[in-house]
Amino acid sequence: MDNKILEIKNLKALVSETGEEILSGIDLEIGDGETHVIMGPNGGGKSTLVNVIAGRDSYEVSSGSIKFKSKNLLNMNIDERSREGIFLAFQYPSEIPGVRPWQFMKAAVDAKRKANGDPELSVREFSKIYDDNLKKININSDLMKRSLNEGFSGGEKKRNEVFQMMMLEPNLALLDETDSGLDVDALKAVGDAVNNLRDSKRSFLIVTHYQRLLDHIKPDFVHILINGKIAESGNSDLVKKIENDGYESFA
Amino acid sequence: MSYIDHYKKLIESELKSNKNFYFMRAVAPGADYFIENGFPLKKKGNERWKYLDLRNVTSSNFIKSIYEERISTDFESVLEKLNSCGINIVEDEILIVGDEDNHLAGRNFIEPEGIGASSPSKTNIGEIANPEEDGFIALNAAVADITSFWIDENFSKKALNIVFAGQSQDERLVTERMCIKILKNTEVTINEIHFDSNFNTLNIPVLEIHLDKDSKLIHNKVILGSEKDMNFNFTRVFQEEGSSYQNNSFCHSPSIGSNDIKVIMSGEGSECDLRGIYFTNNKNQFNTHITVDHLAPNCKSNQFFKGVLSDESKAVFSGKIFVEKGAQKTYATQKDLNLLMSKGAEIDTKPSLEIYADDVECSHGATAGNVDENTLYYMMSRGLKKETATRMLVRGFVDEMINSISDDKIRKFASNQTELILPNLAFK
Ligand SMILES: Nc1ncnc2c1ncn2[C@@H]1O[C@H](COP(=O)(O)OP(=O)(O)OP(=O)(O)O)[C@@H](O)[C@H]1O
Ligand SMILES: [Mg+2]
Repeated sequence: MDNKILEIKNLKALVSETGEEILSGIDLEIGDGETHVIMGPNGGGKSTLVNVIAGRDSYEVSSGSIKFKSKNLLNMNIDERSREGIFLAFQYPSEIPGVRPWQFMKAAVDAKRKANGDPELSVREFSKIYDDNLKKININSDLMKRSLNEGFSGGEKKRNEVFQMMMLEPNLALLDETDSGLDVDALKAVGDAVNNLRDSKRSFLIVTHYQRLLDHIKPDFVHILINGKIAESGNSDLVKKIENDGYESFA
Repeated sequence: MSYIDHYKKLIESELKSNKNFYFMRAVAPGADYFIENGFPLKKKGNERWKYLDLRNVTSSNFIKSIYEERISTDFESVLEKLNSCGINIVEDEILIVGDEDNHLAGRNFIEPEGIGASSPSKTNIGEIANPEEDGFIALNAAVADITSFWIDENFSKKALNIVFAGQSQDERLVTERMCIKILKNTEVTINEIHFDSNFNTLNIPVLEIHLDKDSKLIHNKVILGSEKDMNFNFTRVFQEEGSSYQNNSFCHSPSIGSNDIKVIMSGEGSECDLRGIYFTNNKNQFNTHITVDHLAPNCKSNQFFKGVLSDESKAVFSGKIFVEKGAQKTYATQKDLNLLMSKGAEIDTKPSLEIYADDVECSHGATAGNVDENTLYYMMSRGLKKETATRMLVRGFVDEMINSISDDKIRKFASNQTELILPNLAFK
């Protein structure tokens, strides 16, 4: 049982448009069922890292490799990566006018099932799962009658990201500051949702600035990302060190 | 022979065959204007048409189509198409333009309760659609096929479908003119549907609508153009006190054409709400030209249009708000949003405000943009293919307009048409 779901080797990535290098040689391995946390100062490259994993094409990988379930991830499109089991909860989710959350999720779940050779869910089967998950994460179903994310508060958007994660049941969930801007109840709900999904087949990479999320989710590993490089890796004790000394001691 | 000479001959022969004295009153100014000026081809000082290439309009000498051509198989298939989309054509909901010999200057008219043919002596053709405003309107006036009728309270809360079926031959000119009077306190829906056939035809339909005091009209307009036809569609509306006019347009562009609406708000406390969506593709050109004239105080107008442009098509939106000196407490808005699906597509938006009153509230805005990359990325990160995501986005953009169509059948029809149009849009 020493399988790695994600293997990143010497990853360098630049902004496609300008050629500016943001990630300058990242090595990171995540094992099946593990939960990793990434912390680091603003602008260190945390979001860039998770977006490069998700396949955002405004970044260009200039060297290194990423393997997901032993497959070369860099050959896959954004949507293929998702259907393979990668999920990114966005730091800033998009508002999509005219697109209903239900319709959007149905299409997403069906696309994934189709790729796996499973039949589409009937409206009824889907609705049941949909409603159950809404309840679990405590999203008001009236909210979901609007256009996706349109007029959602910051916290509501974050909950909705977690809701989508629950619907898509990824093998690797990347959470980019999902805990920012959450009230205490929402924070607990997000923590519970992650903990409920944790199992031997699912791994998490969680970007956060705050220790308080880690009161709910106990990570296996903590990494500190500074200037596009992992400056240090360790266990939860690292978080306390950051709280006490700040990032300067790692630079 | 210049094209004007061709139409001059056509106009003269029409004048000879048309014996109705009353209609002549309107025909003459149109004829004079057109023979003098022709189509609005000049670029200079021609704000309305200068962005379009109108040369094709003169590339053929179009002859007037005769009625038999028009109701042939095409008409049947139109009815079928509508049926299949859930529009049930109930006999008294349809107006069929008919054959030669009756009192409506050659129209056979099925009169449901609450609708009646207006007598020619009481029909002032050109009163609302001034033939000297535009060469197209002038030509229509000069050789129009005229249908004139009123609607009263006995038809309230009902819908009247007016179907303009496709023509079945090349080089035909179709100049329908309808003069519709909505009588006091009447509340109706008119669905105007143009199904153009794939022939080189020049369609110039003109609707003149008079809204009496406290009447209300919901006017749904569907233009489904084809790759070959041209369709210059005009609506001219005159509003009396307390009346309400709502227009929902759904346009899939013909090779070249326009949706040209002018509303004259002449009575105090009237309201108009003009909305629409236009799709353009291939090398088609389409002009949405909207004018609202606020002539009386306490009126409210709203213009809200959206465009989806693909390939190398071109769309023009020109919206004008005119507020007369005495039209205090006017509230007028205008908005035009465009989605450019390809690099080759082009939009020209030209808002214009002309305000002579001081106590008014006006706003306008226009945007044009591509499908948002961040949004597309977000959707794809949930496993949706790029095409699926794009289609969903465009659908979402369009739905806001479609959902505001209050007539169930037309809304469903527009929705189904959108599903047919979307896959043909090139996503680049
Ligand atoms: N598309 C881009 N174009 C230009 N610069 C970019 C782009 N994406 C990221 N950067 C730059 O790369 C650096 C890292 O950004 P990133 O968003 O990854 O930081 P972060 O660690 O997530 O910061 P935060 O904690 O504030 O969210 C920043 O300096 C940012 O300005
Ligand atoms: Mg970030």
